[in-house]
Amino acid sequence: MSRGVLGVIALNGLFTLTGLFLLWGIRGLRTWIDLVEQLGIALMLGTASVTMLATLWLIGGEHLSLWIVLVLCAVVAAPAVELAVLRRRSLPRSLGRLPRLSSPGTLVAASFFALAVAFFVALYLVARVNSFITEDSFVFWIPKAQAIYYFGDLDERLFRTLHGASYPILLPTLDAIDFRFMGSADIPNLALQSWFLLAGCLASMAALLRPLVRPWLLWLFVLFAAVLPNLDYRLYLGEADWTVDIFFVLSALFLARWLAMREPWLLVGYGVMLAATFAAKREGALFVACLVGGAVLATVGSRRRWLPLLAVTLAAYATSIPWHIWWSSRHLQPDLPGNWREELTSNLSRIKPAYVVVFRLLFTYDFWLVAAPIACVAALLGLTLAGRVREIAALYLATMTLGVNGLMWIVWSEPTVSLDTHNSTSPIPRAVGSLVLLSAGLAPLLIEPLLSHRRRTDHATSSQHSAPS
Amino acid sequence: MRPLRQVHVAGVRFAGGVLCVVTVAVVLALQLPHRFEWTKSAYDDNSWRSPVRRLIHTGETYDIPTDFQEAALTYVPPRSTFAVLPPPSVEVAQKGYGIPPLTLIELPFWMQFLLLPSRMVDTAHAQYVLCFACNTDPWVNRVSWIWKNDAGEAIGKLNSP
Repeated sequence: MSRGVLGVIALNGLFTLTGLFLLWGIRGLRTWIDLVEQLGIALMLGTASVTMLATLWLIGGEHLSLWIVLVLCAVVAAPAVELAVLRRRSLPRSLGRLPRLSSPGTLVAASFFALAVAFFVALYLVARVNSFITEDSFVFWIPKAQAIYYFGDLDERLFRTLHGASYPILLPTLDAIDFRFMGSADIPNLALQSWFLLAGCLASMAALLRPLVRPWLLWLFVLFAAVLPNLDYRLYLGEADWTVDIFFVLSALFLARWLAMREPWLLVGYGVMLAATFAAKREGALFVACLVGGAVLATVGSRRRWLPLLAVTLAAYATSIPWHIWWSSRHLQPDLPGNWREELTSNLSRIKPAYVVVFRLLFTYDFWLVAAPIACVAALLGLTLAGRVREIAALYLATMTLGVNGLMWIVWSEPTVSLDTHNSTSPIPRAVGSLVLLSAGLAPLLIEPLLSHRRRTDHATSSQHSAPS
Repeated sequence: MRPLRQVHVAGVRFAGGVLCVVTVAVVLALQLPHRFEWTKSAYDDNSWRSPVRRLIHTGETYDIPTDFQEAALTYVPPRSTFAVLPPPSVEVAQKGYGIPPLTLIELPFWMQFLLLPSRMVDTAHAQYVLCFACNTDPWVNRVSWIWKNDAGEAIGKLNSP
């Protein structure tokens, strides 16, 4: 195994350890099985929080060395440990309850789990030999990471010459941290970091939804999300699209579970993932606006929850302000076309074809199988229930509606974005990935109550929507 | 009537939920073999490449020759400065050397990416020049050519004034 591969594995192990400390602080770790279940969440929390801090460190004009990365991990972990001690959070002392293998549901779940693991092993092998990156990757995403690695900071001289100079820097920062742990700018092996992000995302999905969804249904959709063709095809191309999609979907999953269960630690996870979504790509802010708008609409009958929701969202947004100050104070090319408002009025004829493009891309079977239609059907049926089930359905449908309109707005306001569905002429084929992954992530949560409430009245069912065995 | 209607709606919901699950299960059953085949072919197509060939493969897909990229990595020292010298015109590139226009667009970006931490600068400030089917006549007395191939590519070190 090369130094590069070992470096990526070591870094992700460190992120996981940092995330475990964070989880211990905010929720406690009950049993060893609970700890294993939370590994995906720990990885993603560690990755998002440490990389976010690293971006702020770089924006502050400081050099990012390997030692600084270790210090940043400690900066995340130390207050979490202090909180855990103060709040007397539990640490694992027993193994916990293993699932009964005699149950047919458990056996089916185990089959889907085994297939998902096998597919992830296959994806890992593809990452180990990955040889292709896209134009955006070699034009600016990876050169920014190389600059951070080689020159130690945000090299203004180089950034000024690159396309997308003002694009958020979470991915280049994460790549640069990988280079530090690899011991060199081992670009082909960056694909392994993308593999860890996807594995962490889907493991987090399983852990976050497990108290709400029966295991066989959950693992069916984890496997389904893993094999989405355009996800697999684009995963290793070195762009920030999947990075922003992954953090956006995790924000939505934390939020959905918080709406369902109201555990305070979920808001911490939501805030960390939201901050990473802002820092990953320009579209991140658009997706966050859609998600928060969807949450506000979904909880209109329970406005007490708006305050914590909006407070965490604003705190997450605040972390993106230093980057805006950095690039705008240096007069770098802005992240929106200067005349986009005028373009809206002069391009009214693009509205209808823009909708057609977005819908075609969202529902193309060869790209995304049936993720969006299935989740839409389940959500529409879920609206006929009351309480929390309806809230989750409304959250999904409102976020999707706002998201479709947001993507339409991109096509409408930028005449340079072509009205076809080709990857090289439009960002929309990549951008719809967020909404598709959101669909695959929330689908089991939307379907679960439909299967559970056959013989119950609407009112009774909604109040009993809790963890299935 | 109301309980009957509720039972009916609950039945529709249940049927809808089952239909969603069955649809996803059928799609998975049909797709999973193809997805595993895709991973196998992606692995087989790339596993023969050395680390350097993995790095330069994207450049190859833009018709930037393998030997030119390898020579650039070999002869342009890290943290030096270089300039890319393109062909005299798109027509010359296309008719004389069979270089497509897209290659000329991507070439400087690719070489900057490939050779970082060396910096791409204008020719007045460069220590090295990467000639890509360029006209070498103006450079005869200013450059010591350290690598050349038969396809019109060369790498030279600018002589001290």
